[in-house]
Amino acid sequence: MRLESMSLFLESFHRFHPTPMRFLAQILLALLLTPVSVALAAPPGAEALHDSIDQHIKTAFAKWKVSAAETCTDAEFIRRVSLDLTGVVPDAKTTRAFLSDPSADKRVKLTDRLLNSAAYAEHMAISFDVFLMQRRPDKYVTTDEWRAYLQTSFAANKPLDKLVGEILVADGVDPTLRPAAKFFLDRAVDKDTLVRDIGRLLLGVDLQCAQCHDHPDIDQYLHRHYHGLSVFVAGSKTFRQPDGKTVLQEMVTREVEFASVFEPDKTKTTGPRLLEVLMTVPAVEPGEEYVEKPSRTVRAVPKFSLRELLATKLVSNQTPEFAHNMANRLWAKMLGRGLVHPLEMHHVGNPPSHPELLERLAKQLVETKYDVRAFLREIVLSKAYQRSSQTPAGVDPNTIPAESFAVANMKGLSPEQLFHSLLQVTGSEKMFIQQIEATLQEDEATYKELSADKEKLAKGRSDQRALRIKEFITLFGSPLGKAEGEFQASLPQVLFLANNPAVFGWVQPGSGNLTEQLAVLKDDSQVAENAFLAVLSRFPNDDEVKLFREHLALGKDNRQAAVTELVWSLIASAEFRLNH
Amino acid sequence: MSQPTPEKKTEETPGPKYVAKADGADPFATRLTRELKHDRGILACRYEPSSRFVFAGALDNFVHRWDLSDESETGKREPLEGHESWVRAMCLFPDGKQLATGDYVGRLIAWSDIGGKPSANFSIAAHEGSIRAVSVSPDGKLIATAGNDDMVRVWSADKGEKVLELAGHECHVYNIAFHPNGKALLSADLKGVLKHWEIPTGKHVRDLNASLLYTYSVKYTVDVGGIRGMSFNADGSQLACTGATGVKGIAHSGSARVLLFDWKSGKLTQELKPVKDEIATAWSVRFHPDGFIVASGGSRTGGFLWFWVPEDPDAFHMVKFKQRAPGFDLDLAPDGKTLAVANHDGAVRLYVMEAAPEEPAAKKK
Amino acid sequence: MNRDPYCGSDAHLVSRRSMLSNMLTGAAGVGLVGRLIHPSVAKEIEAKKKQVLIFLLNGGLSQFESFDPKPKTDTGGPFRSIPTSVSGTHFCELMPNTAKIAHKLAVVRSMFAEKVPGSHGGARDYVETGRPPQLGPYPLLGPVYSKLLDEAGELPGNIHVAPSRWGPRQDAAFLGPKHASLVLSGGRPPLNVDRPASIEKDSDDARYRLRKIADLRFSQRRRTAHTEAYNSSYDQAQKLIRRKELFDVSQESERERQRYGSHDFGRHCLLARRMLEAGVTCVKVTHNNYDSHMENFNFHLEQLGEFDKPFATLFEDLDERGMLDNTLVVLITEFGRTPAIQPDLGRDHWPPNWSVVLGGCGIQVGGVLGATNANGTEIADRPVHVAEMFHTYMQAVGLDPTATHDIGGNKIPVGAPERGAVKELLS
Repeated sequence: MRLESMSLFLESFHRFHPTPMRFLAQILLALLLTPVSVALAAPPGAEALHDSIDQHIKTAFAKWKVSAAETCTDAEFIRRVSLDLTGVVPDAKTTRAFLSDPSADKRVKLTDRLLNSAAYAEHMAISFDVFLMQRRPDKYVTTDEWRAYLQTSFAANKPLDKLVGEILVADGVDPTLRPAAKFFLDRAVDKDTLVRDIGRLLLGVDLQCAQCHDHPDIDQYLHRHYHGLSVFVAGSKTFRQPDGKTVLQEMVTREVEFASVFEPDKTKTTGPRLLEVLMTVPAVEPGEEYVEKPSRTVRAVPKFSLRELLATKLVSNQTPEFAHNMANRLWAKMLGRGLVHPLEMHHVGNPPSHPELLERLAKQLVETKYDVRAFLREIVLSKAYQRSSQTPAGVDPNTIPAESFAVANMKGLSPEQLFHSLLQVTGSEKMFIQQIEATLQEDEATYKELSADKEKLAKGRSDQRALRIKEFITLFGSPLGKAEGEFQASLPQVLFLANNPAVFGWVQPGSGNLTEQLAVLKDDSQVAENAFLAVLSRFPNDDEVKLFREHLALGKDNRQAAVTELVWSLIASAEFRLNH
Repeated sequence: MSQPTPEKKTEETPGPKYVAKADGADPFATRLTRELKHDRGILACRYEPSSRFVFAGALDNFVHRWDLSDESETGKREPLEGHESWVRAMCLFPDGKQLATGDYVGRLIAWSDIGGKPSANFSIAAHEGSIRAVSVSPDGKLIATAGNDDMVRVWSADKGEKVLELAGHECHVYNIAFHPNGKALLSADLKGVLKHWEIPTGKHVRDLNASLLYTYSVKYTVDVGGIRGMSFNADGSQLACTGATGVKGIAHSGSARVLLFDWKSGKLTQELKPVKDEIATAWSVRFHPDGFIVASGGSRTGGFLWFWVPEDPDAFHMVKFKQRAPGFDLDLAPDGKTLAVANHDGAVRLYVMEAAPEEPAAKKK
Repeated sequence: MNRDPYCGSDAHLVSRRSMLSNMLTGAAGVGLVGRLIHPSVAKEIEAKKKQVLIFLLNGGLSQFESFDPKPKTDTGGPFRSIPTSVSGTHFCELMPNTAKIAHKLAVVRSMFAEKVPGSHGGARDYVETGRPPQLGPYPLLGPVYSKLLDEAGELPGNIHVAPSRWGPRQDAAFLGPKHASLVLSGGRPPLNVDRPASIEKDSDDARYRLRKIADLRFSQRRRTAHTEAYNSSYDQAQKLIRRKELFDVSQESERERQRYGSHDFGRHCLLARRMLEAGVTCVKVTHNNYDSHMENFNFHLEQLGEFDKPFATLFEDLDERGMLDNTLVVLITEFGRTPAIQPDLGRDHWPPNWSVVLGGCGIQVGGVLGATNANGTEIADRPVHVAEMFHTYMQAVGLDPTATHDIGGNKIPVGAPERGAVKELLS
């Protein structure tokens, strides 16, 4: 918060003062620095981002002839922001405290607490892992190592351009930065896969159809864009070091030849391009191109690395598509839909729903030096983000377009969010551990072996945990190579939530979980309240309490069963399944 | 004489080494002496007792007769017509004048005057589907066949009239051999079940268990294995069965094995292994009168000859062929010194287990 | 995309099974909307609903040992060829029952594709999506039919009767998990179709009821796309659970089970028939495994020995039941096998030419399209690309492969735009 306001200040300063003055101003400010609230941070004349957001969104309402929904309730807010920033719903205790907190700025405070929590960094690591690696299986770098690297980066609020630059330039040799090389390495350095993924994930342009010819439908995606991008990566190859580790090396490339399948005789060449921008590359004497020539024993290192050039230029101001894409993706993560939609189709024929807002967001990222935390914070503070997903009475919600952001868009829980939330709300962590142990014990001989070795046992347990999460990923995640997409329901998902013995086990009473605790409560209203607070992060309304009472009365001969049914009905509800 | 080609020697093996008998075969000296080339892979080979001829079955529809007395390197080959598919099942009559062959579509042919002008004595449809193996009784009166219809049949050797119809196997029957005493017939199937039948009654006496040579591949949902080679020693006290174990589904062979059984008790006495547990199938085996056991085999990784003494499971010697082609079949020449090997790459190769006369005796390892 | 032109009104949302035999719905023609349908209208509906049956021979079926034999050549192997019910056409002797129904089949001997992955998964995706997998994930046939052909009734739009170790897969790509194949691993009922052993039926019913009430409340004044989809998935699950005997092949008579054979593939074919009769739009049966790098002849003997009779039996049963006219039958494999016989008596992967077989709805049967040369080392006549076959699979059931999937504003062609259907195969 402090950093963000200071940098805003500095940026505005920088516009008007040359560098030495800025330096002085920096020192002055540092001396004067005290924690400031958001209201004071925005320098006079420069609108805070969250206000800009709301201004642009509101102005555009007229285009769709819509009016805004109300602000979401506190309960809706804490659940939504907890999921969006930490990947899990809030626990009952936190919810209760938040709901009963009378302070006017409690939402801001909550936001800051979440943004500075370890859970934030962990959640962003998972999100960015899935975003960048699209659930590909591990090859040379494990998901654990890679996520650890991302988590450290997000905990330190590493600027996003720096993070992406590291990922593009890492060669895997230096142990600390090795995980960053996963982007290249675990795609087996396949040129076409890299070109496609760099294009769509980092620049927001899906050049797939431009591989063989100019894109048939999108005038802006040209054949030379595809191949121009490929020049940067064409020289990258794997290299197996004597210690067995696979790293990246780079052969010298300067240009590639390509020909459209419709005109196979007309060959063209291109040097390295980032879309339309052709990069200049220093000439080198033939024979003098390498620091380390390619050989079987030493990895090739060129004097001038195109991959380094890519890493520098792609995230720089010379490539505005990067900032636009990242701004759009971060926006989509929070608001449930990009300003450009689909996320990978930035082009003139698919304009953003709010062009000026996208510019503003991109500018913000650049000017704050890609400060992700600050950016997300501004989004959360906006009215647009805090809108209810319910329309005003009398308005048909289906008539309000998603791209107007007049009503909050509902998102599905990601597989990881669902897993962690289910486990938490049912209070089944203990039971889950027992389930894992029971599975390991099924094979007596192996279990005996494992128990003798602490490390092996720990690994066995964490492998089992990973397997359970994998079940969720298979059922609730996106297909391999595809981004986490919109919510989609399916039959196997339902069967799993309804009948999977392990999951249903979490709902049934045992090991001190929620159901077990609820079942021994004498007061039926209390049962309702605790159940709703734990599972749905809110208080029940009167009808809901009534329903609970009636059902518990009917089931008085088997209270545990009755409570189980009630708890399951909540976790299986759309309200739980969706981020609303 | 053709140029001797010293074969690659292999690494040391532990355990008791084999010591060649005086004037006997010396496995360590094994060298290639002749290549009888053909344009199709060879599946089976048999010496005829005068050693002048070698009979072979190949990946075509002929029984090939090579005249080794022909001076040319590759020998004179005469294809005998009559079969409608590949021939792997092959057995000489004890008098050395006739040959029984069976093909992949179930035809059994008995050839007479094989040393002169071979002709089919009879030709019958003996099985539904492939005949995988054929054996002639020691008295020369019966021919036994084993096939893909899970059946074992015994025929009169002179006319090809059915004498016995032996049911009991529950899968393809891969191999068959008469016991040297002529009173027993042994058949072996894909799943490693060996059935001992009494001759002449055809009564089923007992089963022997060679299931080590069979695996069911869960991944590929298919049966893998089978007794590929089978041979009794001269007095019938021992039986050798060959194949592979622990097979890796249908993409790779498993580990070559030769199983030794004591005939009297029917028990497995030894699991003979190749030197480095090569990925290979052992396809054929012979008991050498000098007391060692030799098998041929291989896979696409290479072709091999392995040598064991029955007391030691580890091969005391291994010869890897220059050609990366398995030895599908093996036969011992009447002189006990030469091995004929049927190779996939289209040659019958003759290996002599004896140092070349001009060269000093090969160092024993 | 072309939907069935007759399908616009509720009247047509009726499952075939409920028309044919009132067993499960309990009344003549009571369908999803609970209306009685006049028999003549029913017949019309019946005639219009298209279904698809896919046989996937996994691993790479050898064309030599099946539909394109080359006996007595250096590549042909030891098996003979046998005449089929189509004069002049021969199959390998390993397929005697299939040979008898050749007049109801169309055989393509000149299938090919370029840049076919060496991996089975990649190559399978290629034949089932009509796109090289290097282009990124595309939906397989089943999900495509689920989206374009299925009328989202009681039953899942596409079901895959798979070998034991095959689990659920996101095979619908951008069409979304709603259209992903419902995988029956080892032909067993879907995972989690039985309620937990620890609860009774009334408890089970109670929890669904409570859940629905919760959803009703939640959906007030909210957009309905997600909540409807979610709700309907629960409805679908409950319907499926009620119909779970559909997956119990032991409910077929002993006689039928004997006709189809006791091994897995036989049972899976009978299960497929059961589901097609019930009205499932697309059923795929995968037979494992043909990847005979070693012992090609033994393994094809065994696998085709399993395959031949149940395949022919199922085909004939469909015909007998009058279902063949409206059911497209496709027999595919991801590549062929090498003409050269390898040292393990195996054959390796071979994409330059292989065979695919079709029958049923929309297909011109009783002939062979394309040819390979004398020893099967190359195509001699009328090459047919994998992508062209994909177009054909669409067109045969009345779908337009030149149409597009509309995915979030992105228009993705159903079939590869640079290819077209094989006119000679379409009736």
